[in-house]
Amino acid sequence: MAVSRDATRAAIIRNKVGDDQYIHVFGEVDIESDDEFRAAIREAAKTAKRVVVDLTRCTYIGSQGFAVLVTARAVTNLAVLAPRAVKRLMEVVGLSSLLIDPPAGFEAGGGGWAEM
Amino acid sequence: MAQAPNGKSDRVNVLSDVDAHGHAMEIPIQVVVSELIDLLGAPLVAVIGGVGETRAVQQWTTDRTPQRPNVLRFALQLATMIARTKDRELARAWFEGSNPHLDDAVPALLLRDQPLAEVQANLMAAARSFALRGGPQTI
Repeated sequence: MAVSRDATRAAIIRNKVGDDQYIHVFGEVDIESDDEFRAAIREAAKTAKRVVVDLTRCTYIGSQGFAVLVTARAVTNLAVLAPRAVKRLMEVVGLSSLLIDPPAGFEAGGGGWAEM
Repeated sequence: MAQAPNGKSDRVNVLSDVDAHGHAMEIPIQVVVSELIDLLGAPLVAVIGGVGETRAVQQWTTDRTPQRPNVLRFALQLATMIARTKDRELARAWFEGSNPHLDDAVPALLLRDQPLAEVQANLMAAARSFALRGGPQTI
């Protein structure tokens, strides 16, 4: 099947849940998508008390993605939901303080749970 | 009658495909979106529908018309086919996961980024293959 993977790497979706703005990341955060990731966090931070980045459906996050989190935490009340493998990486790079446990009723990727 | 890997007859599975198609094509687009939200969750519907916020998805269930309704109808057809033989979480995982039948592309991102006519047949074949697979195998 002739499909360019370069065109189909990531989708970043904003989702307001109470006072929080969730950023659901699908696919890969790398050098191709880190600008979109950064812009989504910045936009969400304008109106939310807290920005929660949901990486539970993220298939890859590179150093560019972690750099976005490092920058954003300085200016945003930021929290991250992550699968175990990403949690380990976040601990290594000193971002473990951002990690939170999934709230009650949370389904990975925001499935069926959103208050809109 | 031949048995599919999931133990259901081929006839049952073929009828499910036809039923899924008929259902997705007959109902109003607002209902299509509502059923997709129930099956896949609003964020994943936003991905498929090509928008960046779930607020737009919510508006599709009431007064606004999505830009690509045919993509959403086709997504519901696929989701219904899979959910009839698997559970909802597996249907969601199928849309979100890299798929070897699709050159390792992600179905939801293909639906978002590619013209439907170019990916429809391959997505249908991949979904049918997944829906007909048996349960988890012991390795």
